[in-house]
Amino acid sequence: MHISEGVLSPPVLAAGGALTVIGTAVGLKNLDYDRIMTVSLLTATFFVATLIHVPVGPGSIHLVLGGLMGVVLGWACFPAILVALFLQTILFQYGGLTVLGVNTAVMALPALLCYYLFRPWLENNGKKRKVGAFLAGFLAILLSSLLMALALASTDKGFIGTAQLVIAAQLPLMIIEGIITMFTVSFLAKVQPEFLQLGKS
Amino acid sequence: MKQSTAFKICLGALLVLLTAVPALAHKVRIFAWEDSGTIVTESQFSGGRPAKNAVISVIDTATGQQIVSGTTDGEGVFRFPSPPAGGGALKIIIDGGEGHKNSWLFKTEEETGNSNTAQATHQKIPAPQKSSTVTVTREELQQIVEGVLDKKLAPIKRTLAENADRGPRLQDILGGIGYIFGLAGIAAYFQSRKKIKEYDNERPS
Repeated sequence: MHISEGVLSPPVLAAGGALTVIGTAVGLKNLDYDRIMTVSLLTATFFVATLIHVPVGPGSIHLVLGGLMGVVLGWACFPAILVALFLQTILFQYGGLTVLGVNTAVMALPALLCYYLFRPWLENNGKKRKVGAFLAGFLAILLSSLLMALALASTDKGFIGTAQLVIAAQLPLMIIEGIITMFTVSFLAKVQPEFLQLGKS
Repeated sequence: MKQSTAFKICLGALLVLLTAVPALAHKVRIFAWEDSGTIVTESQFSGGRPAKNAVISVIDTATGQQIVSGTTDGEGVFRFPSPPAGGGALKIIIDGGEGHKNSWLFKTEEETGNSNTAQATHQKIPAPQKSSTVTVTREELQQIVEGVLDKKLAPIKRTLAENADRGPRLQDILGGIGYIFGLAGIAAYFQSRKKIKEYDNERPS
C-alpha cells in the first residue's frame, strides 16, 4: 500500500498532495475536543496494524483497517492516516515524503466514502450493523487498490498489468478486513458505544 | 447455527488465502556483496519474503551508464560479474513492481585495486607436485589467500549487508506511538485554548 519514492510522476504527486491537504484541513476543522483521543487511538492502531506482516502463502499481508477508521472517524481519518504514514516514512523509510500525499489519499478517500455509505447502517442495532461494517472493511481495501492502480497506471502504461495484480493480491485482505471490521464494530457497540458515537450523527 | 456460519466464513477466507498470491509489502529492499569475482544481490520485501522476478538494473555512478540488467530468481537473488576495477561505485536499482522501488550503493573501493585478483579463484590452482618442495610465487599465494578469504567472508558480508537496512524495531514502534499521543496532546491544548477564549468572550465583562 506504500508507493515508493521516484515511481510516480509530478502531476500524480501534486494531485495526491492537494487531496490530502484538503482532506486534512476539513478533518482538523471538524475535530471536536472530545474526539481527539479517539482519533489518536485509531491512529496508533493503524500505525501498528500496518507494521505486522502475516506470512500467508508465498507472500505476506498486513492489515490496513481503512474501513474501520472511515466509519469511526469520518473526515478525521485524513489527519489520522497522514500522521501515521508520516511517522512510518521517517522512522522506517516506508514510502517517501514526496509520495506521502498520494499514499494518504489512496487510503483515506475510500475510508471517507465508507463513512458516508455505511455510517447510517451502524446505527441499526442488529444484522445491518454487522453487514455494514463488513462491507466497509471490504470496500475500503478494494477502492484503495483501485486508487493505487490508478496512480500507478496513469504514470506508466506498463503498470496496468501490475495494477490488476494488486487487486488480485489484495482479495484475501478484503475478506479479512471485512471480518475484522465487523467483529470490532459489533464488539465496540456492545462494550463501548460512546467510542463509536452511536446515536449522535 | 450462528457459530457454524462464522466457521464457514473463516474456512472460506482461509482457502482464498492459501490460493491467492499476495505480494503486498511496505517496501522492497536490496543488498549486495561481492563473492569471488561476482557481485551477488539479494532482494526482499519487508516481512522477509524474497522479491521474485524483480527487475534489477546496475548503473555505474562514475559514467551514469547502465552496465547490467536482469531479473531476480526464485530466491530474489541476482548475480553479475564484477566490473573491472577503476569504475565508480555501482548503483543497483530494484523495481519490485506495484510501486516498490529501492536501490543499494555498492562501493568498489574496498577492492585491492588489482583487477586480476577477482578472477584468480576461477583459474586452476597448480596441483602440488610430487616433490616435497612446492614453489609458489608470491603472486600465486596472494591469489589463493584472497580466493579463500572471499569464500569464507561471503556469508559474513551478506549478513552485514542485510543488517544495514533493518526492519522496524520495537523502540521505533513505541516511539511512533509516543509521537501520536504527543500530537493528540498538542491538538487537545489548542482546542482547550479555543474553549477558554469562547468562555471568556461569553462572560459579561
